[in-house]
Amino acid sequence: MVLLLGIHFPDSKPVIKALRSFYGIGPQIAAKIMAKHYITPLARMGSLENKQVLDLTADLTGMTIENEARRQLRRNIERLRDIKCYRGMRHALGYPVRGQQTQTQIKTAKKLNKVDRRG
Amino acid sequence: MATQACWRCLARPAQTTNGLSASMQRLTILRPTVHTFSTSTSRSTRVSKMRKERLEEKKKRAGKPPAPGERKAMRKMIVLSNTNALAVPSLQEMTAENISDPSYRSVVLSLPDKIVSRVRAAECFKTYQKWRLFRRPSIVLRSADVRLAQMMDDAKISKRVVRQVLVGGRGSGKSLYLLQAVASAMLKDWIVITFPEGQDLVNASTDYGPMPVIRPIMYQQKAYTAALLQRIVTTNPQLAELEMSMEHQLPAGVPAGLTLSKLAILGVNDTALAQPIFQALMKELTAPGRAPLLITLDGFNHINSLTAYRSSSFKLIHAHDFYLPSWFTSYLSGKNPLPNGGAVLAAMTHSNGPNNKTLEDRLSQLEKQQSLLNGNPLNPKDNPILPYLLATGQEHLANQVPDLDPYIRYDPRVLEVFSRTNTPSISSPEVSLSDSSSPSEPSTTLSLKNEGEKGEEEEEAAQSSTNSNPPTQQAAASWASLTPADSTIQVKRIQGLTKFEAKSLMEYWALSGILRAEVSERFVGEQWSVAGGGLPGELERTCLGMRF
Repeated sequence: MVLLLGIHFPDSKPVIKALRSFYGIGPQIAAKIMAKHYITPLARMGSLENKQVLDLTADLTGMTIENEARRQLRRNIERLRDIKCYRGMRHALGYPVRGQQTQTQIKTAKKLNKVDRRG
Repeated sequence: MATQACWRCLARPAQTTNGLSASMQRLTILRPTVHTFSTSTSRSTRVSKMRKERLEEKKKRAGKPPAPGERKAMRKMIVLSNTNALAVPSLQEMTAENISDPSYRSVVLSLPDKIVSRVRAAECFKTYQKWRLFRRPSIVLRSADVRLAQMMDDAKISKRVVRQVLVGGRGSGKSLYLLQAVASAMLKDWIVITFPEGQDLVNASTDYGPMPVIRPIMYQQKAYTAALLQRIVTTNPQLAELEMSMEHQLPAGVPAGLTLSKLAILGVNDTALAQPIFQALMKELTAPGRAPLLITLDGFNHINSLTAYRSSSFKLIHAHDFYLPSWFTSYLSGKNPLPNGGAVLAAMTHSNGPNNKTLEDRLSQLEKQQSLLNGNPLNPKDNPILPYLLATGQEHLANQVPDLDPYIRYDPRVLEVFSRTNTPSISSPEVSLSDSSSPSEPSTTLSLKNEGEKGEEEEEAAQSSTNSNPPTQQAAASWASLTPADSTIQVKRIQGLTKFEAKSLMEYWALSGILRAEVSERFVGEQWSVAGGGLPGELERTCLGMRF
């Protein structure tokens, strides 16, 4: 087991999957972080050296990920609503934001577009 | 009178008192009655239970899944013996003498038992070759193999280096040529270092990291280096008798006065030490008085372009920025000397190799130049401006190899590998021959002209005269003054077997009981043609591939 940012990952877990399990890290950022620390794309957590794990943790600590990233998203939507722009209003109403039709097929918008969006 | 029976269900005529047809009545009977309470399991539960049972049954039928690494081991497994195949009594073993003896050309020789496991450790046997069909691994000795063995003999005496890049179509036997070279080197007690697959160095499958101190930045591959050290130890048992002869700046904990195999094992056991130990080992192996060195690499196209590895700034790293590929190319190009003599062989691959325009163009240019040096006229289709030259009365330029394409952005780092190769500007074959030939006497050991295939022999002899010297003291002395030619990389085209070689090989297959056909001239000719002019890989497919 390897401890990364307070989470235990099994040795067999690919590093790229472990990194992408954090909210706010996608394929591109994960690849860049790995290249920065000379980790091959197929490396698994168990193959990392201690120094690499510490460096990764240090890097992740300084990034806007997990709750901080979710908060940032909510702040952005709140700002839109507060200035009462169209996008803010649509978010508040739970409607599609980017000009889509609303007669049918707006399930996703109803689910996601809200001011206190979970992320 | 029409029957009262229902035609559809052959039911008896209903006791229809209420006037409904039989089928309609059935429907009324089958109509589900709704109960407010039931003790039976719900339908969804039943279905999921059935699904579970079916899955379990399937698992039972499939058996235990393979353990981690088992499937890969099966995939990479090399089987070198088949007890069902007949032993061939007339089969001779390969020895240090007969591989360089021209009278053994086109003879099938088996690898001696003492080197089979070493060749296997060097990973020269490939999974796609048909070793598993025969009682013992054997190969047909081609004229190119004999010539290489002779050149290796020369190289040992005159302390020079044979440098070759092997080109040729898919299945033409480039990897077999490397195998033959490795076997020869083992029989001659050389030290052998092999890179069985160039792709493994560059496809980001092993770890990497920058080497400390070195600027501009150079990358190391610790795990691969450790595996390489292990391969060197297993391939060369003679390292156990050689002791360290100089001081090295190694990390703490490495005692002095070790044997070379023990030194290498330290690097195998601790990957952090692998890189410095490999460097120390190479210093030891190239120290004066050691045995000659054979270095081979299969899949040369892979190590001459960008790799799949990325730098810390997320840019793809060039293969030559990695220590091991650049180490290999430095020996191939002649940048690093091999003072005890040796051979550096690189085989191109056409099975999985990437397109590499720089390498292809430069190699074909070198090949043409070397062909001209050997007195062979240029093929008119190799010179696109030939009609123009002839029309404008510049025939004397017709035999010049054209420059590289000015409209292609070539990779300067790849061109650098060939920059030491002696390529004089060629105005006519005669002039260039006198430019490049050494002042020593003509080759004596390489006179293969006496028998068979005259055209090919002439070319071979001419090639060897430009690329090797006779094993005399005079040659050794004159060699020292010819340093540029020493770093000449020979582009060696491997072509299909001759019909004679193919026949000899097929006879061996037939004697082993694997090929069930009469090996007649006609049969050999047919198979030879079907196999694209005797390409060994294709011959194996046509003669041994289809087995019912």
